[in-house]
Amino acid sequence: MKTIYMDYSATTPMKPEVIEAVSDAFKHHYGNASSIHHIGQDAKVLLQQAREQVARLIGAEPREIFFTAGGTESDNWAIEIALETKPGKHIITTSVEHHAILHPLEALEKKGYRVTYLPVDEYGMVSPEQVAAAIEDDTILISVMYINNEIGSINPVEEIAEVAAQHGILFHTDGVQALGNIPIDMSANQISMMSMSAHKIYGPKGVGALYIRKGVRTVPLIYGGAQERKVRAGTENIPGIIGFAKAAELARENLTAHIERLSGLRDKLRDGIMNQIPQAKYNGHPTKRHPGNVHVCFKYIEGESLLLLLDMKGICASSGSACTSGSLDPSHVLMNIGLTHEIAHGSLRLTLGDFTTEDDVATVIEEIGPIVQRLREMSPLTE
Amino acid sequence: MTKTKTRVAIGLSGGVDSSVAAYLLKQQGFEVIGLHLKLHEGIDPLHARACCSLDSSLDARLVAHQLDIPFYVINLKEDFKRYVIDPFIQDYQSGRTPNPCVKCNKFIKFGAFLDKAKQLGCDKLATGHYATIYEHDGRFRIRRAKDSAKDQTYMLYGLSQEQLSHIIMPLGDVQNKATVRRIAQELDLSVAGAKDSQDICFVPDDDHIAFLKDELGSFEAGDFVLDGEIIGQHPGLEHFTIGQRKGLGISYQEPLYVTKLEPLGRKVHLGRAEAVWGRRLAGSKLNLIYEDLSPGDERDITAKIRYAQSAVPARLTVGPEGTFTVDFKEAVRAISPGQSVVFYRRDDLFGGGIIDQKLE
Repeated sequence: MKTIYMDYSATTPMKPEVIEAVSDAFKHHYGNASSIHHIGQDAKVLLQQAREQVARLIGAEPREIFFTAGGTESDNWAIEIALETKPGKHIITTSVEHHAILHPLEALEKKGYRVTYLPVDEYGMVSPEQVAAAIEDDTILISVMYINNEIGSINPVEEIAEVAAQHGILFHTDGVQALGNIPIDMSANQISMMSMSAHKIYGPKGVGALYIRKGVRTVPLIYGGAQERKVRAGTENIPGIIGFAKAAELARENLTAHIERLSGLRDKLRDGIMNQIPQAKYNGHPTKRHPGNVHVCFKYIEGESLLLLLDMKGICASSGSACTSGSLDPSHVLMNIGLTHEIAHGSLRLTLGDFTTEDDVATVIEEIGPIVQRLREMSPLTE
Repeated sequence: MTKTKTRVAIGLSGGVDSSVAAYLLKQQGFEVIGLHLKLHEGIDPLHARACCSLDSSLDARLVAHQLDIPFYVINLKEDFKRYVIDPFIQDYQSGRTPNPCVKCNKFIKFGAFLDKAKQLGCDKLATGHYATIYEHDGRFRIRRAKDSAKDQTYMLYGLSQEQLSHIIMPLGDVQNKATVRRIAQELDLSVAGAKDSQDICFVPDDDHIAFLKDELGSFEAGDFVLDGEIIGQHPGLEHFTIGQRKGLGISYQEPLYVTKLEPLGRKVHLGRAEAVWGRRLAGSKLNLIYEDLSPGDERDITAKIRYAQSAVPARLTVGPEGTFTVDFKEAVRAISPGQSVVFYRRDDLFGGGIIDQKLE
């Protein structure tokens, strides 16, 4: 049975060029970038070259890139920077953020901080006006995700960053799903901080970065040695960082073609499903959308059963975020865009990527109809 | 599409029994899919061996990997709370001693879980129970396991013919637990040395009192009553079961036993040793496995009034609307409302119901 992987928003396979770069680093570049000797110096050079590659992907300067262990650390760190460098007790975010933002903020609420969770529209998006209206005298941070990881909608983060800048407030965005999937140019916007992860762009797991605009005061989240200009301690994960850099380089070179090809496949998949299956709802914004994200809710069925049956056909999908699977509660994102429990339970997220083929899309369209129909026939909920 | 092998779902708990059952099914040529039930939150991560903890699902996953069968975790926490945990708590609050496994089998394992298996295209659901299901005169029956020490038919009397038609229990024909362990060792299954599961999977350390206290916050105190007189105070009905002598926290010139738990007024009735014995009981929610009886019908059966007990001769009389009475040939000890009374005819599970009261 052929595996059809359609869960690129959970993670991506590494590209062969990335694997080669990482393997080469493991084999030949074992140095500690803090060492004085030539082996250490070699690692230091590679580290700097990697920083340049990642910076180029988002139009940033290399010194604005700080490597971390991934998106979650970057999100936590961005919050910590606001807490430690700004006086005030109020934070603004949205109700549909990733748990890497929501859970630390919930913990802060217990320590006396006030958090405004902005409601979202039917597409899971917030507007700059909403953000402006929520600002208070002691707001220290506004954090709004770039692209929603479940339903793929793209927030107007550049406009929101402008609002934040006008008020002198730090603006952070979780850019994990956006990186490599839409053009981002930090030299042309006012985003203060952006979280990134390598394994969502065909790089290795366990490595990511936080973009911190020059001039933004920083403090460490993790204390120790003097790595990353003294704000992110711990011996650098050189092979991981090199893999991230290679992935970033490939993403930059292929960005336009990648977006064009994926959007085509995405719309084909969407139409193939929506034209065939009645009582289905397509979620997320129709156009301001992640190029590889298809998210549908089917009435009268449980997403869990659908996923397992698809898996038995070799098709890897998800019901929403991989980080919340195992919980049967409908996702907070789907609840916040106004879906009922009943329909949110039947959710399916198919996320496409660079290894997805036309044939894959055709196969999924062919397989999914009979499965949904079968589940509906067995469902006690069917009218 | 070509017709393939019969697809069977096996409930993999992470324990030895279900793992070996899965292996036996595979040997028999079925297409086997491993499903692990997530029924409740591990209350405390230190209780890592509780049956639904992360560890047990990992164990189950490793076994599925070793046997090279697909594996999925099925979440039935909401159903389990509604059909098993909540009634368990309510039973204790009303002075009854519940059998949660009976409800779990009826509503969860062979209810919601079976529905899930069917959704996944499985014709049959298999479990690691020690019992044998077979067909006789067009009806399904359940035979006690060869290993009487591991016989689990007591927990299965609530099943319907429709449920039985979809169930396989591969371990019923295995000689005994030692054989199962030997098979697991021969296969080098990672769970070969695992401990047997505890009594009630959602109650840590088998301490149901601590569990109830956690859930309810506190118990309502009441009076100990002997021969109609109040002879002391007790800290809550939930602490006691019928027939209990130890741990009453009361001193008296002769040994006293719990004879009755009265929810109205929160009274714990005590009595002398002979008061714990009885020959008749009344019950309800009667379910018969393979024979349909009408009110007034009687049958000679053997019966047991708790899990870890041998069945003794008795006569069953069917009443209206699922009620019944049982007359034992000889007195039995501690007839406990809320517990199940389960009937056998020879080696077949005949049926059972819930004990409502001891009759004089």
